[in-house]
Amino acid sequence: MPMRRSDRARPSGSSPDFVRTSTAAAMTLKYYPGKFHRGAKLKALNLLLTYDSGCCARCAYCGLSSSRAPQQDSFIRVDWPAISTEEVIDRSLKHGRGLDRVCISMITHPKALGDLNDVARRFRERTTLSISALIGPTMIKGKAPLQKMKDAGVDRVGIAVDAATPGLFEKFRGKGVNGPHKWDHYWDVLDDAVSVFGRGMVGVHLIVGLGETEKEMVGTIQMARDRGACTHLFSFYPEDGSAMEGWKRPPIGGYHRVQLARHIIDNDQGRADNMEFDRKGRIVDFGLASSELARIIEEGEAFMTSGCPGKDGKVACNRPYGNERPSEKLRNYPFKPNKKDIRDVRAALKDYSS
Amino acid sequence: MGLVDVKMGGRGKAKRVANVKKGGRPRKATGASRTVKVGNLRFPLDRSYFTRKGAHIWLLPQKDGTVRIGMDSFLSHNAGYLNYIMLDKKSSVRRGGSLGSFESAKFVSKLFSPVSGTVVGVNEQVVRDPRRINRDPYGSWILAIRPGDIEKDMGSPEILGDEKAITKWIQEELENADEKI
Repeated sequence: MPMRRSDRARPSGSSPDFVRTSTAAAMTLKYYPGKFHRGAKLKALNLLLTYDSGCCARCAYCGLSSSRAPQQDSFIRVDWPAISTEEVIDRSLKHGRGLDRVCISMITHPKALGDLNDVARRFRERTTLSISALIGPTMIKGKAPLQKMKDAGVDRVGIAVDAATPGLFEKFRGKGVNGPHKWDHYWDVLDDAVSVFGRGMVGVHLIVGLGETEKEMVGTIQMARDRGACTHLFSFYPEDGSAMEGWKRPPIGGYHRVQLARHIIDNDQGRADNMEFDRKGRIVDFGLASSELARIIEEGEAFMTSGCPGKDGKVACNRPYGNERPSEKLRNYPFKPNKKDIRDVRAALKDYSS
Repeated sequence: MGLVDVKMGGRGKAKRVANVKKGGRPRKATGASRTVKVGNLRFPLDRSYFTRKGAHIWLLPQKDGTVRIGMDSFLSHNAGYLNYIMLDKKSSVRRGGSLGSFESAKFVSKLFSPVSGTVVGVNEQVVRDPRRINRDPYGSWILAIRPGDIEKDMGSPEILGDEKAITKWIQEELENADEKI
């Protein structure tokens, strides 16, 4: 018998003994019923540390923000049920044949750093999953905590910078919302993380649609690349009850253009400096020969979810329908797009109407 | 998927009367609350099932000549926790035609009509709170339809009401499913 929403959505214990799992993870581990539209398969478990006092940060767009209206507990569009960490591991051993990676996300909380290592060690000891940590730089000072994470079994680190410019970061995550986060500190921690985990082992999370131009977003992607990181893209989705619940989502054409630029930059096929932009900062030239660009678009990988890879080198963190309802056109394809998908993408790339 | 249970309930209280291995022959049962149980799925035998691929719709004739329809437990399980039921505005439908769609956080599909006729009622409570279907798929009718020719629809091989046929159909559906339920 399925649980009632009120029974299952509220955290019932704290980390490290409990973690919240994404709806996709809860489905894959057979806590929730359901299958994925178009036969998508989850390849990475997304877990979130959880505390009764919640996250201390106040990010305007975030479902976990302490400034969010009470009674709202979704995050990135979906429920995240709290489950015993040991049970998650048990079930990942039983049901997680297609899983390749687990990602443990900190929230801004004094216990989060230590608890992340605790949860990582439990996974390392009992599973063969590769372990990512989505870290909260505000809780991290210097390289020592990052080295401890690595020692606990983490092989890759994600840093959710989210906003593409210092001004937007300050407005939505820093002083603008009385929040604790600082742009410069995030990038300092990124540099430390690259030196501890290695070039290409750190992913910067960026949310398209917080008010930046495509040019600004592409500039930040290039900056991350030049500092030895890669970029994982998200399309803004307004969370009910958040300070930005009334905001519009970015146009899908602009999102696909940024995905394409990211793919080119992160695969060292081109640079932001060689791309051209119109007066509204929209990409009009990707700086590649048209035949080369057509080949990349046709291949489709540029429009798949960007995230930490699995053992096969392909993206494991594929987050099916994390950015859109399944009834909508996909923004992050959790599988290789088919011919019709590519036709849709190609049409969207040429759409400069909004 | 292992066992096929047949439950028989008298006066609202379910009682297990048979428990046979997959492919075996469930014991015959009588009464309005007979249920075929396959794995975790239930199929009450007081109604019929539209078995066209992807449909999984139950239909229950009413005394006033209308038919109430809803999602069976196989479909409500596969769909996941439902967020939306979106019904088409048209009033006239054909058997196998779309009545609208349903959507959960990770899945979306069409809702197929098991009969041809006219839509005469909508269960607004279910449309407003589709998770009622997850909690009680057989107590949560979605639409009421007045069939144009109920005899013809019920005679279709795509509509099953017989215990053995329903059991066989569900077993095949589970065997063809890409994931164990």
